[in-house]
Amino acid sequence: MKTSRLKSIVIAILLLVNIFLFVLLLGRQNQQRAAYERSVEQLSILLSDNGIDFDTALLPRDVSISTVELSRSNDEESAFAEKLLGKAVSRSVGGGIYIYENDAGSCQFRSNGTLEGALSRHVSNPTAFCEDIFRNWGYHMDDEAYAQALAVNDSGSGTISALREIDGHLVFAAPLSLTFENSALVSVSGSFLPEAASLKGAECMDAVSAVVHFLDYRNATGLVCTEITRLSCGYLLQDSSSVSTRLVPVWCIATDAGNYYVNCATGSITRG
Amino acid sequence: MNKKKITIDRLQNLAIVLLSLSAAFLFLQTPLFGDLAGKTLPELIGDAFSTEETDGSQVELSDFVSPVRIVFTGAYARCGVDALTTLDDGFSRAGTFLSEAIGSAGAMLPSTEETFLSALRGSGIYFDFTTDLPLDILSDALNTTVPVSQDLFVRRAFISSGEDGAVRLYLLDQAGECRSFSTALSASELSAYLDSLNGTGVDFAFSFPESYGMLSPFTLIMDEPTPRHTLRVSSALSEADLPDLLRLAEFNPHTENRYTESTGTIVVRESYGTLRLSSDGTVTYRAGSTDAGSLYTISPDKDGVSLTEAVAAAQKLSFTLLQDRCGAASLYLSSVTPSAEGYSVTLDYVVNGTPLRFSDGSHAASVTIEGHSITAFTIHFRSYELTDTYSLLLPMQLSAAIAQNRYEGCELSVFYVDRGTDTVSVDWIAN
Repeated sequence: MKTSRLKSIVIAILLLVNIFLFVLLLGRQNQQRAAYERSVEQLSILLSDNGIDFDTALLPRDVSISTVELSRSNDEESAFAEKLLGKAVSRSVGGGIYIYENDAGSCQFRSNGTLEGALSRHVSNPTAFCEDIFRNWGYHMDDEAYAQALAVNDSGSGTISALREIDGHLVFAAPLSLTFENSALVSVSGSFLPEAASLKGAECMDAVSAVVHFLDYRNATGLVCTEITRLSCGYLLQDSSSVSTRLVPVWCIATDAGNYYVNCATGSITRG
Repeated sequence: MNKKKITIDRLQNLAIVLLSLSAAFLFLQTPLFGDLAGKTLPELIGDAFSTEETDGSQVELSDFVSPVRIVFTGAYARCGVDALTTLDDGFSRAGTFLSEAIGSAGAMLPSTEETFLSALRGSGIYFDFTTDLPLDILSDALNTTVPVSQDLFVRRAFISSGEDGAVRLYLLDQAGECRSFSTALSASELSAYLDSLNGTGVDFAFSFPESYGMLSPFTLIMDEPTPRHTLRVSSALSEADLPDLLRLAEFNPHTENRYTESTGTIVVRESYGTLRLSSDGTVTYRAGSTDAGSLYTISPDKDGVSLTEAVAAAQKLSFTLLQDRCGAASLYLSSVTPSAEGYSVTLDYVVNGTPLRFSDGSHAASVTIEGHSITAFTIHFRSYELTDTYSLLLPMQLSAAIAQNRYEGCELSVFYVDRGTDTVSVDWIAN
């Protein structure tokens, strides 16, 4: 048989195989989509039967999240302190606590990412100042933060808070807050998180499962909750005395009774 | 013509390659192959070639576990946990405060138990490690270093949030020796943390002088003691495990110097020691001579063996031989006693934060170190599994009434007690 004819036969077979696999794949995706839509519908009925209002459009799809190892960086802390205070003298007081201080004030960084600073620095435009600080160190200013900033611009006093953003996901319940009084920055507090040392794909339950876990928790604890207002995936800061600070992937379920965090791997619930 | 043929031939080759790659790609995506365990193909290939292995015999002090009871005293309330270990998530935040307090400890001031008790009446975090722990070992486990080397033992610690805004650390050992230190902790952060907590109400016996005045003031009175499961017990040593155990213990599993006594105890002799394996799962060892690099040799190149090295060697030996045979139980350091020749180290079992004792007073593992060698050890190979039933406990008041009459000044605590039967339940123990 001529080689070219053989190749034509092989090409035809490969074409048929590709078509077969493509149809199989398409069918599988259709089945998955249908199964997901069924699960969303059942979730909606379940929540409705339990007296909880929930708009299924809030359910995010195809969320991927990584496990994050944070590696403390004295250089980053030093740079941040310099941004706030100017040139400052640093000293370690033991226990992983570093203090930066000069005539303008002082900042204390702890091993678990906590930051406390007291200073006095005139700031003519708090909004621009905060935007600069937060953007440079990976913090995300949401609408509420901008509203706070505008209020501070007007009155000269107030607190502006932002959450750390890592790999497109927010670190919940660990804000960094800048407090102003009479157009002067007087304190910094909250969590100062360094750049992520490593990112690794993590198993994450889907949003529907997270809501079901929350519903179980709500029924078991007798929590009074009538509406879920927001659902998002992000991280919770987990302290540990024996290893470096970790970020645990969680689903944040915002309700009319507060925020609740569902561990993406175990389904355990933490109250915000 | 030839040119046309060549072109067609190349196009056919290209088509075959592209269709093959496409088919392979589609095949990987289909249920016929699976979902790759959620990983990408490069990650799977990387895992296949990964040489990362854990050496089960490498014991890090960061793996150190100790049972601990914690009491949090805020401005308005007191709550606590009575069945916890230092590796549990519930210890994390409090452990971080302790780590920072130890790491930033300033000048030491000798103090008294009365001072410790007085401080305990104020706001702060109280830790009871149920046993005297060397401060160096506790610091290593908390990932911190003591600023000035102190040969101290810690049974109880208290981080006190003082009214003057300063945070002090109090350390109390089993003998009642107390030391206090200034720290660099933030009083406002500690107070904010304490005020944010709510949990099981708890108080100390000294708060109830009429009801519990005859007990140790450190006895914890829980509103609701943590429920503990009954344990199912079995020997962790079977006939099939013997060759592995002998190998791990650096004995030849095929040695001819092996016989069984009338009691059923198997005796194995080598030039460097004798191993006895009794039918109840107890393994004892008595040394002969050992070589450097042996499981029984400690720091042969150094002048002496430090307390930390002795504890690490005892833990390594116990963990190596026990492996994962303990079931739901873990080993914790229950005592380390220096002697003229070396050290005597004991380890005991802990299950879900509740320490376990043997009714005959023995320990899960007892290791004797003389010079640079482990010269003797005894290990009870026991496996503990949680059952579905909860263990019943006498009400605190009743137990206290009994204890006060017999053991005035004792501290009542909950322990698992192994009496050699196939189930283990909890009891009040008067220490």
